[in-house]
Amino acid sequence: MASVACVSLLSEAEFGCEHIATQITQEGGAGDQFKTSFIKTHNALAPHTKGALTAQNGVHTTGFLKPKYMCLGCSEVFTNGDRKTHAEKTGHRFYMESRSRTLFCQTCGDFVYDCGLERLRSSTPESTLELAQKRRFSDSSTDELYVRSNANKRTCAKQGVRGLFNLGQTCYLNVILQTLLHDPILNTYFLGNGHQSHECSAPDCVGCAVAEAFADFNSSDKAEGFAALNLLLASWRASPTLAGYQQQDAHEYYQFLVDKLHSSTDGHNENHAKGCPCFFHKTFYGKLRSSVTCDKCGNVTRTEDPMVDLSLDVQVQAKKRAMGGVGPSATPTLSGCLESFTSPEKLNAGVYNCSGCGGSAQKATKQLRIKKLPAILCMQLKRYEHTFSVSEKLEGRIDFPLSINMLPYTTNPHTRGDKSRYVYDLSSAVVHKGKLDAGHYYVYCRQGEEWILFNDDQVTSVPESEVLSADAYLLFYNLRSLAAAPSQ
Amino acid sequence: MGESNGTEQQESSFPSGTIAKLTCDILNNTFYNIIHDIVSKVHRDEKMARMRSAVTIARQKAEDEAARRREETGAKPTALKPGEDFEELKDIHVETDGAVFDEGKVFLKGNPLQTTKEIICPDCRLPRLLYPVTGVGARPPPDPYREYCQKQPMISKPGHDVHGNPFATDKLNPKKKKQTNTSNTPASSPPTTPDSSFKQAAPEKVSFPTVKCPNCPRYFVVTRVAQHLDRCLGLSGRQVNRNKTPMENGTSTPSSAPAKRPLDEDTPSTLPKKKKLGAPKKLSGKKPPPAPSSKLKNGVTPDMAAAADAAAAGDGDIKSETNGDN
Repeated sequence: MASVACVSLLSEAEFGCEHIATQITQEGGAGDQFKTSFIKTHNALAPHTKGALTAQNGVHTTGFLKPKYMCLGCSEVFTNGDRKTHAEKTGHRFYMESRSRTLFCQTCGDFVYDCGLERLRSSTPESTLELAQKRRFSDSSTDELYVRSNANKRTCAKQGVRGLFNLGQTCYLNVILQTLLHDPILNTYFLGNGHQSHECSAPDCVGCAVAEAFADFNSSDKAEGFAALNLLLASWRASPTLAGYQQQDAHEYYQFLVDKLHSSTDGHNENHAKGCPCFFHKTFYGKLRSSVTCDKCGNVTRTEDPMVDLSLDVQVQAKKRAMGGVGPSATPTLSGCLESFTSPEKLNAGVYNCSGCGGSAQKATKQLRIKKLPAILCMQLKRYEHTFSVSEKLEGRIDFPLSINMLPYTTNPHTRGDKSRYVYDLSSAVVHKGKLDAGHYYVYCRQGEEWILFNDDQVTSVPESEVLSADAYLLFYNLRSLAAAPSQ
Repeated sequence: MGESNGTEQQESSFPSGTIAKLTCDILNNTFYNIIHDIVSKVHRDEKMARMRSAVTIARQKAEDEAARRREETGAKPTALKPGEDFEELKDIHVETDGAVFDEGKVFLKGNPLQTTKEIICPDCRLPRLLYPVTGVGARPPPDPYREYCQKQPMISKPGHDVHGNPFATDKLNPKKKKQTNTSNTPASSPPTTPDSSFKQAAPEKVSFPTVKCPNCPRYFVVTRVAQHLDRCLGLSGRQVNRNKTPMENGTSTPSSAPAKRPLDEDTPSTLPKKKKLGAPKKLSGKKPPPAPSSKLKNGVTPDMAAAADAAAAGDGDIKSETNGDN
């Protein structure tokens, strides 16, 4: 919740410092020129764009890895010490630091953070100043004053950091609901009255129950837990397999909830194959392309299916490790799982009938690739192995990163251009403790910069390292930049 | 970290020790960068917070000024909602240590890291506490008589959540909770009053609340409500017997409700009143009343007789919130 723009324009200064103010408000287009050079420098210093920083002024001799400062006036690059002499010589006062791309004002002798300029950053590389100036955000504080006087204000108390009471074997529900409650996109939807509970006539509507939880989490400053009773009732009524006082799989519940939320929206299309314009479809559903190549004639059959999550096999990884394939000490990694998920797989003869070879059974190669990525990406690490005789749970750690680039696993892994459209950040990790048929779920959620452990109604703050060393079962990743979302 | 630009383009005749020097340089620079990034993040967070504080203070002052002017001109002195007085703020010019308010806009003055000392919450305009009030890293608030913003640093304290409240416990085993409490504060106080050392008025023990079943008018401890709901909805016939609490496993005389009342022995006088407002229609046969033996044990007071009569007259299954922990 904290990640939903909690910064208000009313509390922002017009300019980062007095010197920026004089620079931008100058007469005769100097302000616009300054902004343009800001964007230009910002893009030139983008990671992965080499070349801009190549050896100049003997920078490489001393501290070639250290942060450098690029002059906004003449695009020259300086180290920390040289910058001052350059400023004295030329009177150029503004520099951009190469690592975090923050603006340095030589007159202040300090980094400055200007909210107007910060917004220009989110513009895409090719866009010019005019494009950036299109009002993607509301620019004036008058608009905000209007919103503020016509909307309820959130209280300052730790927003949304509340537990969910275990109603009796309902931790599977709690972990999923807690995850959703921490998602900025869903918060915007539900708090923006996306699901209109007052006009909803559906009996035992799951959407209404979830909307109620969102409203309760955000409106009151209660610190104690919340009992998601209505959601439980709605879920039980909606699904006979989930109903009843018993433990459930959190992953199955997630799929159920997404499906029900999708069907609770106006204007949704039940047929996923045709595509659907509704909010939940865009948020949760991606597309998985499965292509089968006939080994004999090379004919490729492609099918595309909607997907809510990626179910990743960890067994392959574990076995490889056991055989010493990837090195004895290496723990399986998420990227390894994703690689084996998207790598070609031999199909046995008799499974696939090739239309190119006249419909006869052929050996073939099958490969899965992600065609379209959802904004909220759920990955399940299949820790359960079912063989003919036994089912068992695979314990142990699987390394997962705080942010992941999904580009290599898509249908177009070599796309050049903005990689940031495929970067996902970890938002929550669900952990299952216990045996296959009985156990307990708890979830780590990111709240702003902090990580919080939600063990039903027990809410504690945890360090990042604890999250990363958890034996995750479900991982939820959020698209980093919605503005740059792939629009395929 | 590694953007090793343009060092290897020299000719191949390196003097001895080049690799060692290079390695050393890379390492040094990498450490420098790591520290640089950490410091720059902290700097950014702190400076932004101070900037916002400076702006908030200036805005507050401007609004006060606007209110003062309104009073002078004789308008109604009621505090207007933010937004309505925007026009009035236009021609106000105030200055604080850190910022200038001019024509509805706020401009910084000087470096907020120097000019502004306190972090002010932009929403409620109260100062923020920078340290938790209890638990790990706790510090007492700088001014105990001042009101602070509700947004405080997360509290980290064993057995307590981020708000500093103890975890809810089952009513049934209060002893266990007490033991953990004493072990948490070994040296601070005698074990009889383990929580007295904390200044915060946090409740010593929190028990799970009761919630109303969405399907029937009864109340249950929150941890048991799913179990009840299962039966209440008649979902799993097979499991009913296993899940029943001993009390409800008692005699299952159908429908004649009044036998339940005597359990509310601690509040007998309020019963007739409750009856009047209550009178829910649903009388679910799935919730068999508890054993009538308890009624005999307690004896029948006049109140209870009245209750029984009333219940018999109406279709009285009364809300049984007082014995909610079954």
